[in-house]
Amino acid sequence: MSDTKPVFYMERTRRYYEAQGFDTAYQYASSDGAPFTPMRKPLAESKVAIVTTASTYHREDLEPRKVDIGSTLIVPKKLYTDDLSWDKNATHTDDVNSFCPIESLREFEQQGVIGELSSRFHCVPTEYSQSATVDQDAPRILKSLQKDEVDVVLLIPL
Amino acid sequence: MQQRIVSHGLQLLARASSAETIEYSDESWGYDDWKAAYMEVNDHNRAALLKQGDELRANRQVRQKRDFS
Repeated sequence: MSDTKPVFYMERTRRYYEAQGFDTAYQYASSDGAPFTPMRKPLAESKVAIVTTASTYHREDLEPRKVDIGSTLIVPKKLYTDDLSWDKNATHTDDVNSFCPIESLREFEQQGVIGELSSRFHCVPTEYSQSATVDQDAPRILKSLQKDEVDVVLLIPL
Repeated sequence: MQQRIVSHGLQLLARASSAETIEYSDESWGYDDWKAAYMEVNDHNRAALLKQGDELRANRQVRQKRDFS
């Protein structure tokens, strides 16, 4: 294991938003537990999909954010990430495969590591409204994944 | 390296026996200096952050007005 320490994001962001003048700290969603389902079939027989927080189009500051879908048949030249909170001094998102690993998964499909890469990937908007995420966005994405008969989903947030 | 990281994730998924199974990868890249500076609050940026907050609150009001109208 590399000798690197994690960033304590919740404390860091709490102090940051406090400095921005927000009096009430954001209440992160919490659950008593997480439902767990073991794999029902081997990975080599499973269809894998990607869910990303990037977008296939540029989102303006005040634009309503919505679930979006892209195709994995060709790796997108670009996915839009500027409106997300990642460290824009330390790195970049020019390499789509670094956060939406279509190429890697396609190769794994060809090698038989996974059964199949789903032909669609899904973009979930980062949303401070937990009810919007739980009641609208997640069910919409789930419906799409079920329609595509996906077995495994990689959630890759930025 | 990208393939190795994705492979590690897939293998973890395949062998996980409970929720919140955590593993650490041996992969490392870049440097860690950014961690100290990430979302840093100091005397040099405090005023600018407060101004940013004012803009965010103004935008939020516009959104709420639009979304609930």
